Amino acid sequence: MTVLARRDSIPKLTGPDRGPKDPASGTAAARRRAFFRDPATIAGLALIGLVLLGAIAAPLVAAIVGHGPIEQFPDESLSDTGLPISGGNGFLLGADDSGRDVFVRTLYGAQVSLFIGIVSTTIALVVGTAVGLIAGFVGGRTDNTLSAFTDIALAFPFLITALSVVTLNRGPQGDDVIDPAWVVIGIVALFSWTYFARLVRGLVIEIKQRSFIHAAIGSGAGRTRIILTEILPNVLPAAIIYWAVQLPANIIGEASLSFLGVGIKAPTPSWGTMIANAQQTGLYQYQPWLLLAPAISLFITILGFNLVSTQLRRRFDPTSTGK
Amino acid sequence: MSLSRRLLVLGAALGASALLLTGCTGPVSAESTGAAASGEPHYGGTLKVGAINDFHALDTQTAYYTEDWQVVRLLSRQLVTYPGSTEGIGDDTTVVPDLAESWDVSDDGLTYTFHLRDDIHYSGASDREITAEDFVYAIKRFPDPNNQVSAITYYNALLDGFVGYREKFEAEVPVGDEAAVKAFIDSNDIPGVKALDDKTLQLTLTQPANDFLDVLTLNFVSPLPEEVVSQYFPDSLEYRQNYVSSGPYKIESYEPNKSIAITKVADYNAEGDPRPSYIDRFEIDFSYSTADAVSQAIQTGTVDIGFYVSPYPAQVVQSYQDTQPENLHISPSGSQTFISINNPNEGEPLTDGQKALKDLKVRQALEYAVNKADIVRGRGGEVSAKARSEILTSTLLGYNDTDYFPSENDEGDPEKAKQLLKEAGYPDLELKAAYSISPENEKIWTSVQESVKRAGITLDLVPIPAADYSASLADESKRGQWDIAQGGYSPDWQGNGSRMIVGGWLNSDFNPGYVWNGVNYHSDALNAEVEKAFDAPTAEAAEPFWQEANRIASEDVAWVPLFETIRVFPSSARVANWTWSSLGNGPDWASLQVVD
Amino acid sequence: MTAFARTQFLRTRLTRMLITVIAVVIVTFVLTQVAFTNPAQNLAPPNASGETIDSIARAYGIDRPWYEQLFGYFVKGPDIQGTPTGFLNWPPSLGYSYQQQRPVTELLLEKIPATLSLAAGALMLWVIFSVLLGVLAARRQGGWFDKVTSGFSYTFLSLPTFVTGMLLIYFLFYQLSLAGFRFFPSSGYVPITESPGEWARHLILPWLTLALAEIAIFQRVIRSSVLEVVNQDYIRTAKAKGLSDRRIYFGHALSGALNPVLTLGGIELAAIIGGAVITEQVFGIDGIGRLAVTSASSGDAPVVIGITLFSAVVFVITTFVVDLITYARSARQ
Repeated sequence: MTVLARRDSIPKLTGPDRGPKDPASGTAAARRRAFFRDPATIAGLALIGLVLLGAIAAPLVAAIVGHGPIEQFPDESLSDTGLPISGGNGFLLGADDSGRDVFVRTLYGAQVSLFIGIVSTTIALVVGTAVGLIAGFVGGRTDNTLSAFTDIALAFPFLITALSVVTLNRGPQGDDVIDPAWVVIGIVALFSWTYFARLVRGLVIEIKQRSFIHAAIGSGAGRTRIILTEILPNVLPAAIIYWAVQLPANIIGEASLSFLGVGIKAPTPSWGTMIANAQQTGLYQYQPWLLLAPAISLFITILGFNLVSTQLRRRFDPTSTGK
Repeated sequence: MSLSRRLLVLGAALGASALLLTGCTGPVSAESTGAAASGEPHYGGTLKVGAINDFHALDTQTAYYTEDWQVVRLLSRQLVTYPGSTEGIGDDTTVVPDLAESWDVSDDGLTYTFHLRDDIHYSGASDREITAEDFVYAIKRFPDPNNQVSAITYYNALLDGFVGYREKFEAEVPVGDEAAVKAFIDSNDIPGVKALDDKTLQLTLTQPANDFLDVLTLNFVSPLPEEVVSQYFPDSLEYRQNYVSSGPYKIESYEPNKSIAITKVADYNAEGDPRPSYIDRFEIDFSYSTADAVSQAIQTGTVDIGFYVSPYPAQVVQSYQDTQPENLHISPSGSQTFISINNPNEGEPLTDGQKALKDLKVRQALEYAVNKADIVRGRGGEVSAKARSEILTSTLLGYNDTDYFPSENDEGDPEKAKQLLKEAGYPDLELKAAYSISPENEKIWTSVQESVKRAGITLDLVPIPAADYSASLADESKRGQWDIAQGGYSPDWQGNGSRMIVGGWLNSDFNPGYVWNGVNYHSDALNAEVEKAFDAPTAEAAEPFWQEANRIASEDVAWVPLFETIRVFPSSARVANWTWSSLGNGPDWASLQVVD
Repeated sequence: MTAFARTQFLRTRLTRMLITVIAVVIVTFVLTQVAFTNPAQNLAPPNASGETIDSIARAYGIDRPWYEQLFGYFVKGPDIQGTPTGFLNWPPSLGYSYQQQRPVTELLLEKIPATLSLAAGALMLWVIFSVLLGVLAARRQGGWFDKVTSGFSYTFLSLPTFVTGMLLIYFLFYQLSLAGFRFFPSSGYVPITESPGEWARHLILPWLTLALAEIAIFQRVIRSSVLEVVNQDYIRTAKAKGLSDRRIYFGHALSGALNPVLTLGGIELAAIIGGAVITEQVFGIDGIGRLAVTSASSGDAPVVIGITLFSAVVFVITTFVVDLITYARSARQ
């Protein structure tokens, strides 16, 4: 299933909750205040904060417990038959089947998820916005070409194409040509820029009709200047809100690729790989944290970003109101 | 998933002693389990099997995976076979008559004349009687360019006139043209392979071989009716769907990657068939995705046994040992997993690592650096694997039961390794290690990586997708991509099968010039010992030479043995009369029973 | 829109769809050419000679330059083991699988029913429950039901399908079976033609896995769309005139709320038909998605290209149909 194709037409996940006209009304300051007071926002921000804290604290925790994320401690954490402990011996959440600390790995996994999610979504934002600006502003044949391009990109099945793209990364020496993390970032960005492009193009076409743009054109300002100084500031807020919407989808995208064995490779800790390992070995029945730790972390991260992005959309997104 | 591709074996001989047994008795249940304890064999029923993979091949000539052999054994018969053993895989070594009722061997040991049983018919896509001509056809089919039979090496070396036939075949017949294949086969003969009449088959050898009958137990020489088989591309879907069975079972329905149903042939003439064939029907479901999923299905009774699951998860084994040990079946297998070394002493080194490994001290350092106990623990502990430092395994002739590189608890001796590396002048060795991607292999290699670090060796892991693995290792142009790699073998037959390993692979005189698992080894001392073993009239006489050859190769670290696999199979409580098969390196399906 | 404009619109749309599909095939073709090196080597036995490998390459036509192969793919390629290749055959041939030694078209046709079954059942579940939960939540906006469904929605929106699938197998198959209730199978697929009951029994958990994620989204989409419609003037008028609640919500409001649902649902459905990779993988359903994984990992380029083509075709057709329906609905209103 293409997890990334989901936000195309920007559904609203929560409608108005307090009266029909509440969400996008009032001054910007009032909206901001309402946003930060909403319990959903607070909960979301708290969850994101927790994940960020975990990511930042990872090296610190590793230093305190003395277990690196890829270091193996089989003698301390495995039974004679290779079964991992589920706690104790200085292993808060036990070990995996290679004797690595599950807690430390989960924290490092947050770094991987956030890094890949944020970088890939940002690349998608930049590329998509650029394409959308040009297509929407220049129009005509350029627009047609770029739109056709977007259509083509949309028609690719995400995971299936990703599976073959990953094999491209095998160099003549048999090892990876570039860090698999960047391949994953590339693939995820490749499959999410189109949504930014469509969104921005639509907004630009709308804005182009407004009088201040006509005025700018009339005053003889160059195209580039108009795009950068007049149009971009007007579309950027929507694009950024959309960035927050796309981020959790991209984090799931990375986890899915890693789960299928074509994303981040072992022993680098990624939640997707950890879950795949738990599933393939079946050890989660014996050592539940093997599954629960990465699954709950993934859940918390996605939930946090979903809560915040929904609130953002509800209160600030011009495209999601009044239609 | 077992990736232990079987060995290519070059054959040898067997004395007349094996003729004593007649194959009319199936194995009697010794390990009586559950309801079968009454002693009466229990016929009938359906065995449900959960599989992770579909077959690699079902064609008797291309099937070369232990799991495939378990099923092919139900669907085909050979001239001679092994009956199965309730003791263990290594005990299934007695050659018994199968389709051949009896045979004569000429005094010079070069001519074998087999007398076939009467009134044995095919089933499936043909139901005619099996004749000697069908064996001739099967052997003539070996060089079919659409078939790609790795086992051809045996027959190429052993059968008189085969080399010339093969060369002509390769020169005249293009790939993709089955009509040309048939035309060639029909108009050319192999001098050493003759049907004297419908029931008499004569095979002539190029040299006496004391394990020739063992070679003939393998499914590569099974009778095939040309009029059906020649219509399809070898092992294609059509071939599998129009499968001709010469065994007690036939394929009822088959959908690739989904399921297969195998049923007992009605009116089967079981006279002289050493396969007791208790069960009526086998249903294999290929839809399971992990070893754990299959294990859950066995534990819940959804299926009875697993297929293409190796090894079973440690927690499953443990829970069976704790709660239902009677349904856990354990046998040493003679299979070995090892670290193969890229051209240990032949060929030009292409990397610094390969250059270093030419030095015996460096290879010995690798032996001492690896923590084999940790790998064994990762496989599920002593019940599933035994750490080894010998090239030959415990079920094979020539096994010395000696630890050539001893260390405390098999944990390795990093200090000694460091010392050896220092002496050799490679204190900071870097090696590229290739392995085929699977969770089990990942575990082995992260362990090796960690343990050799203790001796100052840095490992660069090169994981290769399973489908490409053996091709990658064999590819000369990719030789520079790896210094060491994961290798493994599972003996084609147990007992007197040693020379396929130290002979077929390591003997540079005998080896026809190909490189197996990247090992391209040369030792005059080893070659001399193997030569003596070749010339020995019987297996017993050959044993000391095998032992010596084994010692030479082990001490010279032709490869780094890691562990010998012990097969551990859980089954549902319905399965009784558990019997091991040397050919399938696992359960002998034809001897299992189901009890409800 | 005039009849002429309509034809014009259709023509542009169809041309664009065709271009999209062709472009997808070309890109995938080039991609697999670069990514999967030396398929002949992989087909040959480990110790095959160079000549054998060359002759295999010749037999499969993979010794030719890529543009010739591409041309062969679209027009007419060499026969491989008796199977024609190229589009200019009837029926069009999508090539020949190296690994499975079968025509790709045959493989696809064989796998489509499983994937379609998966998609159709999931779609049923997700439409029914999304509408029901969405409308009911909108009706008592802010009430306990709304809050519970909102929590449900956030939960499953934040669970990747592979986690949901694993949890369902663990609890509903493994634990229930151990407890003696053996209803849910852990994996596998039974064709509906063989036994409709077994077909459904094997698909319930995969359906749930897919549907839960979709319901999580659509339930909220429908809820907010319904709320928007309900607050519009004509509905208020209807309400004032004493129209029953049920007719307002399930009739007018729902029908007004359908457009965004259609657009988004079309894309999701196309994606699932094009290969529910993870769900099929987790539940061992032998459909398009599982075929894609095995083919990509074994470098079976013709199958990968075929599946990508199939997915792209499903995608453009579905989005086209959705647009047509949306258009027809807007024309009627």
